[in-house]
Amino acid sequence: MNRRHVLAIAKKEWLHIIRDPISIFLLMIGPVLMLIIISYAMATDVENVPVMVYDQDGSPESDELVKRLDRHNVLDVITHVDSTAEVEDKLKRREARVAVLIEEGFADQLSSIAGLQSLYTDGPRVSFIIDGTDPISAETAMETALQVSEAYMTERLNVMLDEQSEAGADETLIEVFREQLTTPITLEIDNRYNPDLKAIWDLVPAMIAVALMLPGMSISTTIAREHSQGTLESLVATPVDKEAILLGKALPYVLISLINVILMYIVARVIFGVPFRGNLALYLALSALYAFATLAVGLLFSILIRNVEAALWASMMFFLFPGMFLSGMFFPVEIFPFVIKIETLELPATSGVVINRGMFLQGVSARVLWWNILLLLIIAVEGFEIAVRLFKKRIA
Amino acid sequence: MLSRILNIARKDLLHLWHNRLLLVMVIFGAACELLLVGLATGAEVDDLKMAVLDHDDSLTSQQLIDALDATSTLNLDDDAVDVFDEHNSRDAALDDMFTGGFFGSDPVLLVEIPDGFEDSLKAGKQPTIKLTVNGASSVSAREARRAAEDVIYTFGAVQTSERLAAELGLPAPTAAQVKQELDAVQPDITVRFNEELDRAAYTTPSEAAFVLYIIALMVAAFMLAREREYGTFEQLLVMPMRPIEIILGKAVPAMLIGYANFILVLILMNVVFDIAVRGSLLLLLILAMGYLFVELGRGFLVAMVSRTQNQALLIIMLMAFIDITFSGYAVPVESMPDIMQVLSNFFPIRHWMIILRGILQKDVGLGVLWPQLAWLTALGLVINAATLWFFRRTLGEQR
Amino acid sequence: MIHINQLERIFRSRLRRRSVTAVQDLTLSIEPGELFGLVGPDGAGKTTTLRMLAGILKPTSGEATVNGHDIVKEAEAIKQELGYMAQQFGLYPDLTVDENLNFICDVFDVVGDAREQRIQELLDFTNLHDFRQRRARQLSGGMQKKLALTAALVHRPKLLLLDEPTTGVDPVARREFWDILTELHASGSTVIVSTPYMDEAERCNRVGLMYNGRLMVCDTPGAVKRMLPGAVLALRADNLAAAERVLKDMQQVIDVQPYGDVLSVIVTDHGDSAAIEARLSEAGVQVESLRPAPPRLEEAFIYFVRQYAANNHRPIEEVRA
Repeated sequence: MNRRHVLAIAKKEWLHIIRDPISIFLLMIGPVLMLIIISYAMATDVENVPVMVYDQDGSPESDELVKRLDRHNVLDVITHVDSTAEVEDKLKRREARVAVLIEEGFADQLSSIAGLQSLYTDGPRVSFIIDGTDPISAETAMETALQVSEAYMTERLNVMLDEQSEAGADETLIEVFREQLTTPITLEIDNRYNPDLKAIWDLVPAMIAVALMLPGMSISTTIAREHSQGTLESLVATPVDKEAILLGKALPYVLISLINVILMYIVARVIFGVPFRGNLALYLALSALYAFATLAVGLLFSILIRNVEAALWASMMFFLFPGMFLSGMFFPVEIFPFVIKIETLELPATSGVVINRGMFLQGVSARVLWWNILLLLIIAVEGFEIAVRLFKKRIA
Repeated sequence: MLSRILNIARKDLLHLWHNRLLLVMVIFGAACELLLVGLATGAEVDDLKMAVLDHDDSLTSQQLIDALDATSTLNLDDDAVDVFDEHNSRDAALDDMFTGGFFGSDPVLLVEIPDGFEDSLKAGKQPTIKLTVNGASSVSAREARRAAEDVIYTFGAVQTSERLAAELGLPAPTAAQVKQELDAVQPDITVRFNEELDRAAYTTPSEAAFVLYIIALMVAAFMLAREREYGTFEQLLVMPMRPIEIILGKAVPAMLIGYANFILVLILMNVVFDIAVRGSLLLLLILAMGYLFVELGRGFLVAMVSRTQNQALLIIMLMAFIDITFSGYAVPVESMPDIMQVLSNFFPIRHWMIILRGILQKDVGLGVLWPQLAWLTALGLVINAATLWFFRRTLGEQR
Repeated sequence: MIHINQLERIFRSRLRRRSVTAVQDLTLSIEPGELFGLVGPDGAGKTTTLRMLAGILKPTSGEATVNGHDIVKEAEAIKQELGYMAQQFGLYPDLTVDENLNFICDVFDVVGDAREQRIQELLDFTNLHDFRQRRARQLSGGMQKKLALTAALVHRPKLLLLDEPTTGVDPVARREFWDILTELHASGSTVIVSTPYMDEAERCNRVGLMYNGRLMVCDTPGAVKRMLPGAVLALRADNLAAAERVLKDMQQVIDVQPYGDVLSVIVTDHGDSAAIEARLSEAGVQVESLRPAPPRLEEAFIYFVRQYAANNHRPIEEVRA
């Protein structure tokens, strides 16, 4: 391979990119913009799930429970209703996604030994209805509702037991109840790498990998474009090697990818406050490798499909959806069925997500990431090699 | 007018017909994606790897470990804790354990049971269990933590009631009694509409919404951008046709393709993922048509501002990510910052998502969905008016 | 320089329902220093032939060597010594003239001082000096063609393949272009040029007439014209359509070809003009003039095509033999 040829092609491609103002803008700013908007929108974990209250008890205790639910970040009490029909209606209209139903006698259960005993036979006179159409936020809402009401009831019952004990009730009985209300095992929880388990901390690094697929998608039409423009015929009639053409086409995009990485790194650190615990030089090197891998796949598409439109569709179907849903950005890869795990192997984004999270949150070394690095190397080298093999310097 | 519209439509369909690869992708691509993503994400977050350091090594600690392992969420990995023999520092051992797994298969959770756990528990002295969570992927971390907390809490409660029964000289409590005790301060929770909290029931309708969305947007944008890129657009403009006729003519094939995809996806959802349409299918199909018009308008708008198909793709990519964010798919819109919530109303897909889910899962009708319909109509009018305006302007430039 | 033996290229349509034979049974030799014209209408197989010679299209069967290199096995070696100018503008429209030429120089390893010197020389030659900073897209059709030719010449190729270099170019620019080609020819370059225009073919030292994928005739323009049997009479009359109808049926008329307001009548012998005039006036056609004319390449070409069609597509030589 002739170095001058590679540079000549690279220079020409670079000129194409910068001569097209929309493309250069989208390629340079697009990934960063994507990172900011999406991460900002998702910066919040599940919060302010709208809650309605149907309080038939109307006691200070029921009021206090509602207040405590409202005070929690996850839930947001927005309205009080007066009938089960209204509950039903508001759930369907999505005006509220959680309903708190407090029956008459709720306060009584919390203010006497007899009431406490009725808890054991009948359960509490409070219940929840949750809209399950979005299971992820529903689970969080459910968990919170349980936690808050349990904590409140336990607290209230303990106060009641104290009062009863002072009033001279049977000490043994009170002691038994008290023990039953105490947590028998305490937990000490250490959220390693992400102390508050903030979704944004693992979303942003993953998003960087996914956003970096834009250059790969963009290059997937490069041959198709020369073909439709009529320049391919002249290009293949020159003595330039196939390797030089493909490598030269990839280089400007690698440069753009690296500029993107640096911009996104700054955004991640400064705007989103995500820690970076790895080695920056290693990170840049791995980012370049990742860029090469996505570009190799993009080039392969470009050689297989000589029609701009079809190439765009194919790259969209390969990069966009799997990149978002199968890369591990939203859903952990380990839960996928085996076949799909295999499918994710050929997706550079999967390894990209692991590497980015590893570098940002876990501060890992190259040795730890060897498996993903190897995978990217294979994709980059094999993708490129197959692309070269399939690329015929002929026109039909 | 109609014949001219159909004439343009036929030309675009012919173009597709002559490009079989494109045809196959345009029609079956979306269905393949739905299958792939539905199968992948429909699975529960299950079988997360758990490592256990049991310093107590008692019958009770063993029982607790078995209980944790018995959950569907957690799966004991016996070898994971070997790293503690290889490293001197706890930190190094944890890093080793929590990183470098294939397919992200690192343990998600380390449970440490303290020495003397059984004795303190029996004495009612509140032993402390240490949970270390791998926060590199917050989704699985949260899932694992929740499951472990659940099991440990229940396990403790059972131990307590057994101990109390023994102290009071009562017979050991039955399982039913223990459950009753546990439920004493636990409110009942009913889940509606997706009773099993099944993720596939959530992701696949969302996917179906995306399918209609992306197909409409891409077909429309590429179809017009292609003409602009190859200069045939000029030819189109000098023909004796009104802009609206050209736009409508281009809309017909895109509608056909979008519709074919949508129906394919509905069938797939029903057959493969067992998600039936609970509401009125007719209403769904009619509203889908309306939504298609809105997104087609946006697609044409994209084509009008881009000179090549590549530019159109880049713009669509950017739009798609933003649209999907505001659709409420990954994070409920209610949880977003206020300004984002207001903004989300201007994204047609948000309303379409509500309509689709409403009809599909809640069996609601227009009585409930009218605000979404109103938003879509308003957005559709504005977007399509803008498209026509752009089109006329381009027309003026070219003539 | 070039030896072609029984070259054939069949294009199968993607749906495999039908196939088109673009070039068949092509046997031809071209010597160094020739200015060879490949002449024929659209779809005759000229482009396919040139593409095969440039090593960018595989023949279906047959073989050919260019500079002693096989066009299939040693395609890359051919490209090294070749200046190829495609029918479609092959340079990058969003790059300037300079950027395009520098790119091509890089590709052909024309480097250092030699590069600037060569570019200067070629721009002088093609009169593109004032447009060096202009984007290729903004050049006129003729200038684009000249730029493409310049690009094809930067590495002083031993062989130039030009595919319809003057199609879509105004007459003045065409003339200029051919002056450049003639100069190249004079300086010893081997040039193969395809063209649908007969006036251009006249300027070649040898022409090959292609039709329907076959080479019908191949010789010097003079010899080709001489292959036209009989003699040519130029007829001016008031009703050419009626004259054509009448003359076609006459025994001594070989062919009748309309050219604007003149009818070329190919007859077995000059002396038949009297009989023709008589036949025309008998049919009520007013003859303005009827006089012998030198045969033109175009007349020969059209005559050959008609013969060829009438003889079930057998090459002219075969029929004559």
